[in-house]
Amino acid sequence: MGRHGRRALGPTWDCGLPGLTADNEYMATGFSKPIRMIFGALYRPRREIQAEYEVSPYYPTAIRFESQIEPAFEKHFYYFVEDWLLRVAGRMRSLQAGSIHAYLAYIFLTLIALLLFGVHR
Amino acid sequence: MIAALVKVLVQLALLLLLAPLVSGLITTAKARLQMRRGPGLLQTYREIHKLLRKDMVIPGTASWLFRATPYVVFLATLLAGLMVPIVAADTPIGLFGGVLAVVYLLGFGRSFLAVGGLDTGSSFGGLGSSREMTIAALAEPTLMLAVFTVAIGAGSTTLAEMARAAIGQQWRFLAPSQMLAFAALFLVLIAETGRIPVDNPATHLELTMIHEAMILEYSGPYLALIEWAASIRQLLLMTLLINVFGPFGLPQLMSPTGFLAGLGWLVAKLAMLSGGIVLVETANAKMRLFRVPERDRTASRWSAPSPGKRTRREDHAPLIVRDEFRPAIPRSGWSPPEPVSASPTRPG
Repeated sequence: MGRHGRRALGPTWDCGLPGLTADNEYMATGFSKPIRMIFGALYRPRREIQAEYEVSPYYPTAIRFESQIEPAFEKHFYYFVEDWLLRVAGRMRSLQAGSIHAYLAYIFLTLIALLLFGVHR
Repeated sequence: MIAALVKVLVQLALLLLLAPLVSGLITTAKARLQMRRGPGLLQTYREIHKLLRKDMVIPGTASWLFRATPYVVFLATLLAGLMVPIVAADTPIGLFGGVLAVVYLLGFGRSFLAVGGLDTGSSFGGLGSSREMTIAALAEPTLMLAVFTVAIGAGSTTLAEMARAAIGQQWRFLAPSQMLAFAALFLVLIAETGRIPVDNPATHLELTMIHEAMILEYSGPYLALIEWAASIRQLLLMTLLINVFGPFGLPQLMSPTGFLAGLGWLVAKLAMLSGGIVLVETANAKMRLFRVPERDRTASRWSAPSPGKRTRREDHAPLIVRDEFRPAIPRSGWSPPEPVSASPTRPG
């Protein structure tokens, strides 16, 4: 590959308007915009832009941009899983609450259980 | 060992040589249908040959990803091509679940293309990558669903087994599930190969382009590799459709005698399928990008028909969320400029 031709480094194509900077690059927000629009019913994207200008709206002096999607999966799935896990964990907590006496009792009971298991085999 | 190697080489040669011909056939047939002469069957070969000999310009901002992408795409497509039955139901290699590997090798190549498009820092590249990935995200589940519909019938996800099952039951393709899966796969084929209602392969520098926008910065041999890979990918998907749904004349095993017959049938069927694509491309206008999801939704419904549930139009999600389309800058306080009257005394 490239035996015949030469490789040259050149500027990225900017449609003849010089001044292509990092500001012109796609960001994650822009990249995922089509997905946000297509699955709009799920994500309910919201966007708010406030531009301040003095002479014409094409020359804004300050722009405030806010974009938001509804965390659909968190709200309808992970939230319930998390809730359930925390509730179960809360109940399990009475088993292990930092009392060394309780732990010693667990070890004792386990040993007895293992002993019984060994005898019956 | 030698036989396996020969099989691999034959299949590689077929993929590399036949793919540009199919592209040329579609372009020429489309031109003829539109009362144009067209560039001829061999145009894609000429283009690849020309590009391979040209110098290339690489954007100064590009990293190694940009340089690696053409090779990755090309090799991933070829590897996927070795798992698809072409002139015999037998495939040279059948790795990791057959059709799943094919779909995700193609997806691997495509994600590299998207990264290559983003890598240059050009807005066009980002735009193309974003659109390509959106369409992939919609077409891929449909493709998998349709493929699984067929795989259930065949009892295997290996493409060789699927083709063999289809050979065993010649009339199976008349089953409603098979016909719907075929129709869905045809719609996916149009989207995956960047054909007209979704993308337009014939344009360059148009704001609606998808694939072309993504590879805008590529030139010379790199572009040749990408274009070649694109045409191999098209051949591969078409062959998959043909040999899984209508494997008439497809020999079970690759053999010197069966090879010519298999090739003849394949070319004839490729020509027919190309005819279908040409008709679709000529009869339709390019869709607006945000109409494409509706089309893909239809395809995925076909590929897995669910009985007993009727869907009304209102059930669908609204495609366009109005909030996202609000003009960014308020229009009040500004009026369009007066039209300039053309006066004969204007200097010049």
